[in-house]
Amino acid sequence: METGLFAIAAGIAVLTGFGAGIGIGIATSRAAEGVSRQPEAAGKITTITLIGSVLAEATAIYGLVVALIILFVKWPA
Amino acid sequence: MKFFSFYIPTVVFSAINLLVLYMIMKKILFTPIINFVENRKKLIKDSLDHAEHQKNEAEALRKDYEEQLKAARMAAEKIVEDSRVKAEKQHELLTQVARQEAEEILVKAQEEIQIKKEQMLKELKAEVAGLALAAASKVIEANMDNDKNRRLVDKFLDEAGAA
Amino acid sequence: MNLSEELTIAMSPHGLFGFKIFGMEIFVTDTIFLMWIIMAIMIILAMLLTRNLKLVPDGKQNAAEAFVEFMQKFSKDNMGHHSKHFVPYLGTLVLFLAVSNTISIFNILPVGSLMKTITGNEAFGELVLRPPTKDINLTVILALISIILVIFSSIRFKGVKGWLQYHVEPSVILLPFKIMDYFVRTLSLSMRLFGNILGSFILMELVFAVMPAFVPAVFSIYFDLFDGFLQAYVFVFLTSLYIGEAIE
Repeated sequence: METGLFAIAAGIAVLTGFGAGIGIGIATSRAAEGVSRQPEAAGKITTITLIGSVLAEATAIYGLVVALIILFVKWPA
Repeated sequence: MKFFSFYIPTVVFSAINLLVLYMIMKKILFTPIINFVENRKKLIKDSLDHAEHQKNEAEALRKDYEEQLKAARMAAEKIVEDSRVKAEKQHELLTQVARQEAEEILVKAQEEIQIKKEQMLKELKAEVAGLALAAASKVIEANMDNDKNRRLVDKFLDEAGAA
Repeated sequence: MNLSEELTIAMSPHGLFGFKIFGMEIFVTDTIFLMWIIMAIMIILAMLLTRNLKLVPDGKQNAAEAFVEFMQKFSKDNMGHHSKHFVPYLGTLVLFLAVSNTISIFNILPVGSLMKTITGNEAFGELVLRPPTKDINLTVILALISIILVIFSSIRFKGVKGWLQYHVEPSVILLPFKIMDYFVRTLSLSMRLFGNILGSFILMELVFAVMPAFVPAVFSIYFDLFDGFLQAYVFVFLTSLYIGEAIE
């Protein structure tokens, strides 16, 4: 079994973190803008940002899980 | 034990653990505190209601007393006014009576004075006439008829009185 | 033993002691054992906090009341009416997750060697206070319980008919997606918790391998404490959102 190729595959799978990072960054920047424009709605905006970030983060987590599956599940040769 | 692999006993034990934990926490933490807070809320509400009730009652009582007091004060004022009016009336009446009496007395006194005056005048007249007659008779003596003289004197006196 | 082998051992659960049922050897893993420890801590704390409740609360009673009231408000905000039935579950869940996600900061306590001297079992020497939520078996059952609760509460408050109708509203086309939703939600709930805790755990192990002193303490504030509490909150928050959607 070529462990090196598996490691590369796992690394590629973890690249999903890109999307999650960009998505959460955009969401948070918009949330900050929203709070500075309307400070009284901070509570609601925080909640919505949290939901959005959590959902966006799911992609990164799926990438991590796929990488773990690639690394730790025994594949038939 | 391998990483990232399902191990059914762990799953089953975890489920049992979580359910037991849920039941215990519900019994010893959540139910007592929720009930306690609920009871305390009710207690506070009850005592507030009670206080409100008592306050209302006291207010009603106060109003009642105030009304009674007002009525009593008005009654007292009325009594004072009444007695004042009565006293005034009495006073007026008494004054009038006194004045009347005084007037009566005055009138009577004047009348008496008048009567006495007239009487005295009459007596004086008679005496003066007697005196004049006596004096004249002494002066003129016997020549003169008594009756004639008397008439003459009277006439003279009347003239003098008229003058 | 190189770093990757050490890491793999640290990541994987290991059996502490076993017993035989129906001819099968069943191991109690450190996940379960740590759960027992956490349960004991939570129950003792709860008993201490709720002992002789007074009308005028003192410090510890205030803390307990504040927590319960926070959970009540949280439930009400996310689930509207009927929310009072879910307060104990969500409260227990958030407490358990908060303690278990952050338990690795108590690693200085020599629980493993203590248990080894008490029981004489060699396997306890391996016991380190690692978050039990980095074990996928636990997160899967947590997510499963939450989803089962969602379905049950939907049936309980809307009736079987209302629950079935929910799947074809507003259109029948959505039926496969709604059914798929259950699996996706279970998967994402369990994998989110597992991935986050495992990720921060691996990072902390790596930081610890590179620089054993001082630096891990700084990193642990974010990776252990902040991430642990955030994930506990997120898990409960999503559970309450799902329940709120299901019983509406």
